Amino acid sequence: MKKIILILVVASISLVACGGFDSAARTTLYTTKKTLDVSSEAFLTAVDKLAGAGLLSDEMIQKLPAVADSFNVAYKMWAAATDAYLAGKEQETRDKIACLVVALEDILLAAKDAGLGFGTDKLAAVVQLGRELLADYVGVCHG
Amino acid sequence: MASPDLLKLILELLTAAIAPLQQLISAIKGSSSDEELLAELQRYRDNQPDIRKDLQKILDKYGR
Repeated sequence: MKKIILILVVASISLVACGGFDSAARTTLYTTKKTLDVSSEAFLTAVDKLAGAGLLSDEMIQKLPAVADSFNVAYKMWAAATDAYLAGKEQETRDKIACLVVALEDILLAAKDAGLGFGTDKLAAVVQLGRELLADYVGVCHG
Repeated sequence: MASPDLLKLILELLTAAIAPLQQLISAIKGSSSDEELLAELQRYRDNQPDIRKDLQKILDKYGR
């Protein structure tokens, strides 16, 4: 009885430990997608309101496409990471999430450059989540 | 008949084993929330937005 229980405990702990990345990656991908949607919607709403009020300067208009493009790059990286995850490719998932973290940071930089402050706190939280996920694993963004 | 010490040890081991066992069962069965999350990821993957296009629509609306 004692041996059976010990074997079960060891097997359980081993299995849970092995499933650590899988669970964390799934949560990160899901949270990132939700946050990207909320942030991009906030961005477009802010632009709509500013334009409607005649408050968009020429300089801001010139910088807005860079923000939109950085969102598209992040969505592309998210899709690549999700494809790798759904295909069960763990190392590739790590690498793509590393690229996704870089893309999220680029949104923050582009938004700051354009003088916008839409949901950047949530994005910063997701960037941090991605960093924490990658902290114990080797992941490289190949661009 | 088992001694009280042995019974106590078994009880402690059983208590310690409950949480990992629950996770073990979930991992083997695959909980419904995990399945829902995977379905959501697949659905999101198939419906990617184009923010640049959406931005251009707004700017066009205001002639900018």
